[in-house]
Parts: sequence; structure tokens; C-alpha cells
Amino acid sequence: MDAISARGKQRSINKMSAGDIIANLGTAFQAIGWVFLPVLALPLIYLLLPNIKGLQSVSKAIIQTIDSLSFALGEVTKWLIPLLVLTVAFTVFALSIFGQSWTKLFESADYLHASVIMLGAAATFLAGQHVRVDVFHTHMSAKARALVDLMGYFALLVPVCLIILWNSQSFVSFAWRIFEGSAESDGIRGEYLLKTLIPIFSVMMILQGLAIALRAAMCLSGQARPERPPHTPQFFAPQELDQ
Amino acid sequence: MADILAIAMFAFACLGLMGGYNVAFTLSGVSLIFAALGVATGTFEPDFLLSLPGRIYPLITREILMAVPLFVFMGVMLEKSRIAEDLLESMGDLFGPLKGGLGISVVLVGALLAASTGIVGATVVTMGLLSLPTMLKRDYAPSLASGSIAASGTLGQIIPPSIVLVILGDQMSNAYQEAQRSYGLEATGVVSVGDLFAGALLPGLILVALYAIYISITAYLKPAMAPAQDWPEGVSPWVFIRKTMAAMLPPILLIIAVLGSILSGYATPTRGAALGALGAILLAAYRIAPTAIGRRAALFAALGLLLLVVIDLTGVDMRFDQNDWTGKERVAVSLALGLAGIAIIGTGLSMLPLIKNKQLGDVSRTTMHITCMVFVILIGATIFSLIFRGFGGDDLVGRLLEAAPGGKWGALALVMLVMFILGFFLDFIEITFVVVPLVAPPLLATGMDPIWLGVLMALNLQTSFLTPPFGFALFYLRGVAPPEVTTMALYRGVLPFILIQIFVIVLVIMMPGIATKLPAVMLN
Repeated sequence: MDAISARGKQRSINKMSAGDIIANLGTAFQAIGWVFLPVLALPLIYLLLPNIKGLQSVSKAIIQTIDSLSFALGEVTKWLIPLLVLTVAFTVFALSIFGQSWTKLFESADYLHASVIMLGAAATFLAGQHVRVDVFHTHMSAKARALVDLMGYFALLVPVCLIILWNSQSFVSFAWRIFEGSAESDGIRGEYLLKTLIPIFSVMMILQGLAIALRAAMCLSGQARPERPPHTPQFFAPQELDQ
Repeated sequence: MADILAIAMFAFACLGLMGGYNVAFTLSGVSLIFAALGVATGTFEPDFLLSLPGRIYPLITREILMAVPLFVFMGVMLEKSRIAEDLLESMGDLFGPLKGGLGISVVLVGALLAASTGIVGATVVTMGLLSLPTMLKRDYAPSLASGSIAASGTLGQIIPPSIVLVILGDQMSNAYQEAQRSYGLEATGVVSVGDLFAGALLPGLILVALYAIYISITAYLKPAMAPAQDWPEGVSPWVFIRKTMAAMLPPILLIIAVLGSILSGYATPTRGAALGALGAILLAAYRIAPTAIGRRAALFAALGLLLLVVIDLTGVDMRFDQNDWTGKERVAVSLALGLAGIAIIGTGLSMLPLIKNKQLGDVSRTTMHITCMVFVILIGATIFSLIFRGFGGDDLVGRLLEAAPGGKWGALALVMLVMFILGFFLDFIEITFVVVPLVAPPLLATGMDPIWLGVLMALNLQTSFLTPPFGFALFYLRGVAPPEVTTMALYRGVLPFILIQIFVIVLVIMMPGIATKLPAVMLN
């Protein structure tokens, strides 16, 4: 059998089962999600049993893993912003002076912009830059703040992110099944990737929230919190930002 | 039942916000709890939430909202290049002999540089750290000094280009369409972010002028509050003029270029913002690049771009896809391509040192934080609005406004009052996302001009941020003010500025042309 026909066969197999593969992939992700869901209860367990050594070291490892993941993702994502500036500025000059426009370049700005928002949100959360109403918050004790973050995580953040995640299943899987692309014929064929940013955002926010809620549990148990990446606040300390 | 749940949801969201958890998730989380209650009592369709991702997706891909990260980048970059410091110092020296000169400098610098970031807290803190110590050192009365700083810090919201106007303009544009679609408004046409920029320009400049006039009058009546300071002996005033010009010209040119390109319709706000951001990179590189190559590259790139635009403005047709090339056009296009090459290489060379000394990385990180903060709130507020609508809350608000005593003026007054009070504890962005989509369609349906309404709302919120005891700007300024500035002095200091604000609001209500004339002229 020569190489060309083998590849042709491969392609026809792929074509036939692309939908199935994606459906299976979706089911697999969902299963992973269900398995990991109980982990979200960790801060509560910690609060009940704060003095078990094993639980402490596991929690520390989880916090540090999540922190470095969010931080690294943010440090990569931030470079998309200068890229966005250059891309849009370039298209403006190319279009208005030389009458040239490339749909792909034009649309790539959308991809950069959406990626910055959805991938940078967790790093922003880690850096404590999502706004709070601080009329009362600034006057609270460290433990009260920790309590706010712990309760907020379970009562507000987790339900919201789970609802977004759950409802985006059909939205995203449909886009994947047809490998949805731009409405323009010469646009980027990657709208399904763009839509996938929404569940990624939800997962990252749940994870980063978990790291902060675990810290809150440690604070409420009167224990020290683990080291943190640069440019991030010391959570539940008297002074918010020490850079 | 649904009405009760809708009202309770709004009330509980406001209460929940006081707890101090993440604003975006408080808004969306509280509404989700009420959605669950609604499902339990049979007043809310759970399927309603299926459309969530379909509503988030357009938020992150809408072209006009791309102006937000670009303007934020421009603002943060300008801040990093320490333009405000130089400008304040040289202008303060130049206007020193004038009574109240330093105070006027603060107002002008605030108007000029606060324009792009538009986040109240950041602007007020920067201005407070920069100018408050200098003013106190020169024996300004603490009340006048802190009042003028707090007021100038909020100017950034109303003077275009500012991100809050981008957001407000986007929401207004949606609301205007909604008013036409669902409320039977006969008017056709659209309102754009550019229109709101044009509409806010004149009221903003009037505010700046009135602030400056107030400071000079105070300085004349009570010289002790804003003492003049002579130029040092033997130094020619030209030195100060030259220094001020050197510090002022680049940012002024940049802002004029951005505003001009947007208001003249040459570029959309997003594209204008990208040009501004590129200009800010070059300006920063020119001022702070550690290597001479970086500085020169920035200068050449900027000149290249400037000449490119000049050639284009002469009206030569330089489009590649044309069949009737004339000799002149060939020369122009070769020249333009050469200039574009210089600009591209220059930009690259000037960015390298900024990358190397981490400044570009820091600016990008800060920009990412502010951008994500804004958009996550946008997502949270969208979920809130969706559920509020699911309860029929928009009808409820419409009915409430209809029942307001005094017809459409009563409704307007009610909305303004509610926004004013919300401004005590919520930032511009949250209020715009949550309140405007609810109240603007019914208001616009009574025939109000959308630009006029937008400018009024912006002025109103700006005033709210200044008003003691809760005003945002005051909180932030209090945080960075030295202890000799008492809180009472701060409150006393902003009072006259609040009066000026109210005067301008009344002026815009009496003479809507202040807000609507310029956009109408631009449209033609």
C-alpha cells in the first residue's frame, strides 16, 4: 500500500468520525469535571480539620500549582496586548492609505482581544485586581475578609462559573462539530477555538478561586499562607499590596 | 411574584456588594440565587440561562469594545513615561507667578492626561501623589489643593477619549436600538461611540474652563489660599516656556491626533485607540528608552508615520488596486512605502529597549488587569440583566418610570437620582452595565436625544464621585493625602467644584445644543 492512498484512507476515517471523536472528547471532559468536583470542597474540609499535616501539604501544593498556572498564563497572555496594538494600527494604515485589507489579519485582532480577556482573567483574580466595593471591606479584619472570600467563592463564584460551563456545552460542541469559522469566506476558520475560550475561562476562575478560598480557610484557621508569585497581593493581610 | 423577586434581587445585589466580594461575581451570583428561587416558585424559566454563552461571546468579540484595552494601554503607557510629572513641574514653574497658577496647571494636566484611562481611582491616586505635596509645599490651602485634585482626577471620565465613554456609548447605542425595536420609538438612525465623544467634548471643556476660572477667582480674592511664586532670579521665562512646550506638545499632539481621527470619521474609535496606543509606545520609547538608538528609532518612526498621514491627507490616491496610475501617484506611493518601512523598523527598534527593561511587560500586565476587570464585570452584569429580564424586570422599570410624577422629566430626575446614589459605592463601569440597559430604552422612547442623555449621565456620575461623604474620588485621595490635609478640608475643598458640576448639568439640560450640536456637525 503506498503512502498516498494510506493518507487518503486516514483522512476519510477522520472525516467520518470527527463528530464522534469530539462528542467522546466532550464526554471525557465532563467525566473529568465530575471527578474533580469534590476537590472544590477542600477549603471546607480544611476549615473542619485544619491541623492534619497531610491536608496541609496537599492544600499548599494545590495553591502553588494553581497560582503558578494562572500566573504563567497571565504572563504569556499579556504580550498579546502589544501585539493587538500593532495589529490594529497596521491594518488602519494599510487600509486607509494603501487600500489594502486582509480579512485574516483584521479578524486576528478579535482573537487577540478575546484571548486577553478570557485567559488573563484568572491572573487578574490572582493579582487581586477585580474590583470590590471597599466602603466596608477596607475596615474589616483579616479574618472577616477571609470569610467574605470563602463564602463568596461557594455562594457566588462557583455557581456562576458552573452555570456558564454547563450551558456552554452545546454552544461549544456545536461549533466544534462543524469546525465553525468566520462568516467571511476568507476569514479565519477558528471560531470554534474562540468559543472554547468561554469554558476555559470558567474553569480557570473556579481553579483560581479555589486557591484563594483555600488561603481563606488557612487564614481562618490562624495559619500562614504559602508563598505567592510576584505582583500579587498578600491575601488577607492588613496591607493589601506590597510590591 | 416575579415583580417582587426582581425588586428583591436588585436590593440583595446592592446589599451583597457591600460585603466586598468581587463585584462581577456578586452581581451574577446573587441573581443566580434568585433565579433558583424563581425556578422553585415557577416564575422563572431555567431554559432562559441556556443563552448565557451566546451572550458572553459577543461581548468578547465586539469590535467597538476592543477600544477598551487599546485606550487603557495608551493611558498606562503615558503614565509610565512620566509625562504627567514633567508636565506638572514645568507648567507649575511657568504659571508660578500667576495667582493660582499651580492649581490651574493641575486642572489642565488632569484634563489632558486623565483622558485615556478613565478609571477614577487610578487617576485620582496618580494626581494626588504627584501634585498634592507640591501644592502644599507652595503654601496652597489644603482645601483648595485637595479639591482641585479630586475634581481634575474625575475629569478623565467626561473628556474624550475615555474608556467610560466607550462603554457608555456602546450601551447607549444598544439602548437606542432597543427603544426603536421594543418601545415603538419612531426615530431611525444609530448613535455611536464617536457621537458620544463629540457630545462630551464641549461640556468637558466647559468644566475645565470653569474649574480654572474658579481657582483664579479664589486666588485673587484670597491670595493666601493660592499664593503666586516668582520665577527664580536671572532665569529667562523662555526657559520655562520651552520646557513646558517640550513636555506638553507630544501628548497634546497625540490626543489631538486620536480625537481628530475619531471625530472626523477618519477612523473608528477602536482604530483611533490603536493609533493612540502606538503613539504612546513611541512617545514612551522616546522619553525613557535607555539607549540612544531606541530614542532615535522612536523619533524616526513617529516622523515617518506623521509624514505618511500628511501625504495621505493631500488626497493622492495611493491604493494598490487601481488601474490609472499617474506619475505623481507612483512617486507618492513609493515615498509612502519607504516611510511605512521606516515606521515599521523604527517601531520595532524602539520597542526592543522597552521590552528589555521590562517596561512594556509591566504596562501590558497592568493593561491586562484593567481590561479583564472591566470585561469580567461586563459578563457579570450581563448575567444579572439576563435574569432580571427573565423576571420581567425591564417591564417593571419601564412601568415605574412611566408612573413617575412629572412625566418624562420626572422619570429622568428619578434615574439621575438613583445613578447618583449608586455612584457612591459603584464605579462607572458597573453602573453603566447594569443601569443603562434597563433605564435608557424607556427614557429614549420618550424622544430624548441619546447623546444628550449619555452626556448627562456621565456628568451626573462624575459629580457623584466627588460628593462627600461617599464619593469615590475622595476616598482615593484621602488614601494618598498627607495627614495635614484633614478630611473636613477635603470636603470643604470639593464643595465649590460640586457646585460647578451642578451648574454645568443644569446648563446642558437648559441648552441641549452644548451636547448635541457638535455630533450633528460631525455627522455631516
